[in-house]
Amino acid sequence: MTETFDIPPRDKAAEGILWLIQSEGLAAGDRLPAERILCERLGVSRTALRGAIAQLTSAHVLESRVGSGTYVCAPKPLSVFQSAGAFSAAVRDAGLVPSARVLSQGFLPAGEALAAKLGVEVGATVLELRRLRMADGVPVAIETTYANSEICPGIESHDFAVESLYEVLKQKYGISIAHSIERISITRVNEWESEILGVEEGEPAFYECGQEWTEQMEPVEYFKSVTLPAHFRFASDEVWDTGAAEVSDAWLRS
Amino acid sequence: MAQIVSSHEQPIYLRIRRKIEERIDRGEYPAGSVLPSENELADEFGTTRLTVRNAMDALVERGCIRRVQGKGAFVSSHNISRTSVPQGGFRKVAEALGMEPSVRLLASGRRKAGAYYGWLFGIPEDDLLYSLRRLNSLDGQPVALENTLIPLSLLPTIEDVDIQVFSLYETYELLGHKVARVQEKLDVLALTAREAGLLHVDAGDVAMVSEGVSYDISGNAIEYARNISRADFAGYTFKF
Repeated sequence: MTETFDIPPRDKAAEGILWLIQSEGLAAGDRLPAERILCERLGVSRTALRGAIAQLTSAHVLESRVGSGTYVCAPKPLSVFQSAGAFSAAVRDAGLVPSARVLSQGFLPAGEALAAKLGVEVGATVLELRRLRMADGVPVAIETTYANSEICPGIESHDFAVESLYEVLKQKYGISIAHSIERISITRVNEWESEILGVEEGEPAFYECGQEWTEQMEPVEYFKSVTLPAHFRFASDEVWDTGAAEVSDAWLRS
Repeated sequence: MAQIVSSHEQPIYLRIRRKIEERIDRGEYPAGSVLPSENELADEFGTTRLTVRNAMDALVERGCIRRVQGKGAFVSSHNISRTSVPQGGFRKVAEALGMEPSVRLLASGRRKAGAYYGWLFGIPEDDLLYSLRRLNSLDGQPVALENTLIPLSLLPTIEDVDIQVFSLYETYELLGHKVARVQEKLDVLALTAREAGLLHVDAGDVAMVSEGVSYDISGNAIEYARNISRADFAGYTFKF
């Protein structure tokens, strides 16, 4: 008997759909062909096809709409760590319009942990800025930023629904971020976040937190965010060998 | 619009969570140590064990704390994070953590690239890929499932290397295709019953998925890998 090296049926179906999206340039909101047609075209059974659709739905590639079929999800903004792009840049790169809403803004005395992160005395005044970040008006993330208000007096007069915090720090206070550390892990959306983000409580999400410093390693800010994986992705493109040939980012952005 | 934010109006479980986070950050609960029991913490904060548990749940999901059946809750915030893609693969990460890695091969075989992976690797769709499915464990505890596809046209002798002895990255280097660049995307999803079973967690639990393509110095894609990590072991740290 000769081995045929066939692709396992469910993988064949999933890869077939991914290839269909890739090769035919299916875009956000496009409906997938009917099951019967897809099965024929991809050469798979209905069981395999349904398994593949479930898998791609959970991976935020497809979405099922009750009673009307399966659709291709909108392109997700991709934050590539090495290109140090802010939220807005990632959203714009995906062809969407970024916006923000200030949920709360005010000052609080730094607790021990926060004081250590910002390099201030315990009890020092710290700016807390909590924003909802959106893409094309759809809630994507809740971001909370803490900054040492001593280095940026009067910063509260800016409207961070429209202004970029980085730009204000840079233009008005001459503070540029040169170093950062970010950690990305998993959380579930809590009750308050679920209301703001418009998803069910307990929905899985990215939890990101990080610290940023100036060139001289002076702490500038500490931030944390809860981001919906259905609308945003984190990525990395790391060159380990400086002699490495350029490669396409077609896969990374797909 | 502006309002004064007071930390005193937070629900008690949030205050306890913040307190525990602070203690971990300050090193009062050092990485690898056992936290006080839920009952002890409940006594300290003057609340119930359930509230303490609630406070700790989010920290468990973020990977700051790891619960071990019968042993308690351990601080893992600093020792589990990894810097971007581990440049030596899973074994290097384990080494850095001071934990014993083990890799179990669940399945391996050859398959056709097909149109999609043909595109990804830049090879004809009838070319063959070597397909591996592995379960990675730390100190005997399963932490990640990894599916890997490798184009045999570039690495024809890959099947002869004992992957229980050499990591795949070491193997690529042995075969003249040292990894020079890695692209990686992260996602979060709920585990299927089968995945959850292999990882010793419950179906529906969340996991972090990392999909990556590794390239050699000439820009050839030499590996596609999809890694599903248990939430309590999933954390990526990026620095610049």
